[in-house]
Amino acid sequence: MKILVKNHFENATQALRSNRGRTFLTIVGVAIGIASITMVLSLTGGFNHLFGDNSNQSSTPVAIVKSGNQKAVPNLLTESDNTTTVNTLTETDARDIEKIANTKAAPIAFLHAELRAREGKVDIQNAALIGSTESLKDVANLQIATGQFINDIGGVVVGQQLSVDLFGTERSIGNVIYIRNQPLTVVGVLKNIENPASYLDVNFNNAAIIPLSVIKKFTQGTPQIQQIIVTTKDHKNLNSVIKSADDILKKNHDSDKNYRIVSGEEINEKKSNVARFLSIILTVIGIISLLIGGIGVMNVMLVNVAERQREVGVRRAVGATGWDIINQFLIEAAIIGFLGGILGYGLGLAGAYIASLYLPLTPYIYWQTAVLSIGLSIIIGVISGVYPAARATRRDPIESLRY
Amino acid sequence: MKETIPPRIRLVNVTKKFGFGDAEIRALDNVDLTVKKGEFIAIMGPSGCGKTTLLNTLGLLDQPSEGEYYLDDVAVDNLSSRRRAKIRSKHIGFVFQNFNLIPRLTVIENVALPLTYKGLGKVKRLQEASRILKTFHLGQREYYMPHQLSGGQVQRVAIARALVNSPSIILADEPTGNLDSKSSHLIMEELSDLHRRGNTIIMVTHNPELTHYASRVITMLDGKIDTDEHKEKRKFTKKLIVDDEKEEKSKKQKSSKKSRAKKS
Repeated sequence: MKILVKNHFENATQALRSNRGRTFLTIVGVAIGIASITMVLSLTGGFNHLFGDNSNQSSTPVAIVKSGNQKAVPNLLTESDNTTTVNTLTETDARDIEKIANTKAAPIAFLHAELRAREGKVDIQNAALIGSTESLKDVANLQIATGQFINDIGGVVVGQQLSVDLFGTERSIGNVIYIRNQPLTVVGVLKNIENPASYLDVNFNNAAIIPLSVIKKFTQGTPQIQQIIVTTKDHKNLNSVIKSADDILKKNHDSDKNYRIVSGEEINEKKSNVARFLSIILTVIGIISLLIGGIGVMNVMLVNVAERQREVGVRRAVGATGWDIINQFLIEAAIIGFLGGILGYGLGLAGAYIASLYLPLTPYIYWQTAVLSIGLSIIIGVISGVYPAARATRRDPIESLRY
Repeated sequence: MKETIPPRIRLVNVTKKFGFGDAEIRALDNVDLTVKKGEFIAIMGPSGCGKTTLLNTLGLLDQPSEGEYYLDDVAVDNLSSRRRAKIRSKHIGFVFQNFNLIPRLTVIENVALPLTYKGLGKVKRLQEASRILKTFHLGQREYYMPHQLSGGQVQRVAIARALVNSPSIILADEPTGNLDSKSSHLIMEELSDLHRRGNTIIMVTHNPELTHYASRVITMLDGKIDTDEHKEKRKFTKKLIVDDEKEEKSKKQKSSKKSRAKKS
């Protein structure tokens, strides 16, 4: 049996080319469906990415030790209540916890202070000023773009966005930041972090990190440590690490339970209820747009084939078998689906970026989105293109010729 | 076209029914028909007598409800649609009343269409189509769209398409039904020319005048063959062609050129 793939392909492209108007409209029809899917999916992706999973982090946080003992779980969409409580954690706590094998502990002391740069005289109200130790680099998985990380004595490390905001450049080493009129020299700039909202509740892109020894000068010599982040490489013994940390803290605090250890699932509980709710809604919208886009593609293809019943009849009368017809329409549909999918994907991305100008999100494209939308376009296109052709081939050719 | 002994077509007790129960219609009622190679048959009869159904059955576009159909002594009445398509592709050329060209394809692409399904490569297809179009004096029109041609030209394209895969039978369903009488005679000339070259032609027509071209005239009535007469047709065709020629000469230069080509 001769394989006529080449002939079918020629037939299909010939049919598509000879009817440019219809081909174009069909592709546009498919593209619109796919564009809506892509747009919704990439915006949903952006939203989910903002609250992204941290599963790709190399060091897992084991526990966050918090001052005070209230039950509130930190989250992004509500005001953090850490600052209102008395901070009971000390430098010693962090240092002692770090003595557990394979474990790092970074104290975090937020300070609400204005950052000033002399050159631009930019006031940054929303920047976070964090006092910490060298361990923070490993604990929070920070990458240095230029320069070095802070040491115990001095210097300030700024996030990429903050660097741009203050100095107008990503290379701001050597510049001076004034905090309450105290000059601090920038020693390093962080790499841009793509996943800014993390369990730490800190956007490091917009943060200035200074040593604890410096920050405590602003707070009467005692660092106001709100939390200590504990990570370990010893993944198997998470519980024992937590246990040891608890023991150390118990000893340091004379068994006074004025701290609490948040661990396990509570940490991964990054999304607030609102965020989760939004995520669900967006997913539902995504599914609906998949359906609508899919039906749109289907409709366009059905009409495209239905109006060619007669052509099917003619082709069969001159000797095409049912499979010849199906193959031709299959290839046509695949080409339309592919082109429409790519066009729609491009349109959808453009739409998403335009929409994102008015939204507090950046669209984020998972590669799955591309595969899903273009794949869906081809699959639905082929199914809905081949189905009516297959139906047409099942009846006698003269019936098709009557159309 | 090599084998000569078996009849090209043999229908035995072929019946075709449409509908069920009370609404049942017998479009073909126990039809027996034998067609020898090289015959030019004209099928006549009133509307609804089953002419077209007979033709479609002969062309394997339709399957008989009952009866046997031998094409070149091979039973083809109960084949799968795939096998029937293969036979159509190899042995049967169709000419329809309403031409049935694919409107979006050029003339040459339309003519090359049957060759696609025989598996020929693109260059070969177009060469062959071009060759056959030239014999129909349509070489100049290869890249025209069907709607840019006159009715007669379109029908010649349709005949060219029917012939391009050198079929053993040519079936024509009222090939002149949509044409004026002058174009009709031109088309009939083409057909009788094909007949002279040894093709088997079966044609359905309403127009008694056109039966002069045929070597055998069958009239049908209510799904049955009513009369079946073999006739001497050479004289008639010759005469008609001469008539045509005169007419053409007085009117159109191009047409007369064609007639001369035919005469030689």
